[in-house]
Amino acid sequence: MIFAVVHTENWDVIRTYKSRAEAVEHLAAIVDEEPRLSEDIGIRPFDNGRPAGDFEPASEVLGERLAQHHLA
Amino acid sequence: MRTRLRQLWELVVARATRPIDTSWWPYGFPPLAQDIGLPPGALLIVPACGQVLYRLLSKPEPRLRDFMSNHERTLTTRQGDQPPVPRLQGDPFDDWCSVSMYARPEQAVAIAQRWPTFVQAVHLAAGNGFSLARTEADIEGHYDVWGDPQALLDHRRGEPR
Repeated sequence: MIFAVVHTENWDVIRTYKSRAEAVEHLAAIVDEEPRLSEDIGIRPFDNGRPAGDFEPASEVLGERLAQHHLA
Repeated sequence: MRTRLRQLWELVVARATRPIDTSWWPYGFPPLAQDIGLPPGALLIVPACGQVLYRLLSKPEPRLRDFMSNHERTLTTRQGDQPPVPRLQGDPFDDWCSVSMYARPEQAVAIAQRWPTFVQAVHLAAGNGFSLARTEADIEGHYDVWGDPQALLDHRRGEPR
């Protein structure tokens, strides 16, 4: 299983990671830099070369973290 | 000494002029660099020679922006455009300068989960400066493509579907 950070505008694969935690960290770093991408960038898991789960936008993955960011 | 130099020179000439063994790569889609014994992290980027790959679009009418890498989007994004993905410190520059395409339309469609999504065939004709590499071992049919966005747009084949 791998976790791809993808951008939904053209579904470009930004990076892939062997762990979800690493992918989440990358996602958080991107959204920290560009918060307007929070709905359009996210994580999709793959197994045996094929999607193995739904696309999760950064807004969902980082929900609480983003809320804190906006409050700060 | 002279004989040794001559032997060395002959060895160099023999190596430089030997026929290249291309049996491992039939000039279709390039393999993963690791599949031909290159170390992890290495890429095998080859010049395009007529491959057809599929690019996902979010609108039925292909735009120049659809064929821009994040690097190019960063240079050209105007007010009102969707923001480009920023390059983080340490991110590989090759990733940031390429666009994702797929070997088969169904592989492209499988990745997209938001609709409407359209798939555009692109003919990577030789001699246009296009390059491609199989970069993601764990994503079926995924290739990174490098090329001038306008040239990629001009090399669309057929209508998006």
